[in-house]
Amino acid sequence: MLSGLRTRRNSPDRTRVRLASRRHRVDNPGARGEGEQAVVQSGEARMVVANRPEELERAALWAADFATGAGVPAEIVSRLQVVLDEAVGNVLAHALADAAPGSREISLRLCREAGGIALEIIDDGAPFDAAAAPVPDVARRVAARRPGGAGLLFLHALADEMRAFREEGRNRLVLVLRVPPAG
Amino acid sequence: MRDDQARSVEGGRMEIMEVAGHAPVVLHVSGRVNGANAAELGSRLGALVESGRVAIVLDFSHLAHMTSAGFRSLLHVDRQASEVGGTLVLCGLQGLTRELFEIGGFLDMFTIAATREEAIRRATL
Repeated sequence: MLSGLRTRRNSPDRTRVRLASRRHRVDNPGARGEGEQAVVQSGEARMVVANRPEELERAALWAADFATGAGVPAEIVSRLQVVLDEAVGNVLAHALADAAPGSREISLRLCREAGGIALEIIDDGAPFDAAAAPVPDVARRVAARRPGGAGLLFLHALADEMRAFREEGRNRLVLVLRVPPAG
Repeated sequence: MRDDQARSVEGGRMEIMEVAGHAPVVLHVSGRVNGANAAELGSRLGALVESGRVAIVLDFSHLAHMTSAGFRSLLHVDRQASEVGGTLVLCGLQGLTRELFEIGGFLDMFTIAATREEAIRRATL
């Protein structure tokens, strides 16, 4: 788990994304030549989106800007964008399914640390535990030619960690994608 | 435009470009297909089917990724085309796009060709 994910006293399993703003120097002499170092930019970024599908593009651009600037390789940035789209899509489709489009806010936070990048999503909708939602059986989906549940399959496959919490009437989902050291 | 002039915009906004000169409609879909633009992709393809152009090839060789919203739209169009005797053939699956097809079991839900030439042949049959 990322060192930036720390305990919150009032959360069920005592985890939260710790604020971080510093630079890590990662020694990687084997890959970069003696004495050279890769710099990993740590930090965090926040964004609030409305509960509208159109906001997913803005969120994707925001995530790519932050992650790229924080030294996350393009391949993992693309994975992060998929994870973000699926996770916020779940909020729109489940937790905020009954809310009028544009009437509610979803808070996003990205936290970059040396080991990876964490995405936190908070909404004030109906309880929805994406981490505990049953993952569909792929073979059964194929046989029925039904795409339902693909988002959950993608989340479980692409995120290295996924934890969901219900706190003070809000859903909080934390997803972590590991980022290998540059080299 | 010629096929080899298709511009790569991997990682950028979704672009849909028609390649002229083929009997089946050949479309390059590049960039990202996500929850924000999946409906647009679905309506563009749906309009083709409704206008009678039911042999469609989608070339994903410059697609960065497609999220589940895009797969839903695509499957809907695939059904629409099948219902009127048409064919939707996909090609150019690579990288994360291919991985997502595998994870979601979508390789078995669509007609997928290894090359664009094969896709055009299969869409024409």
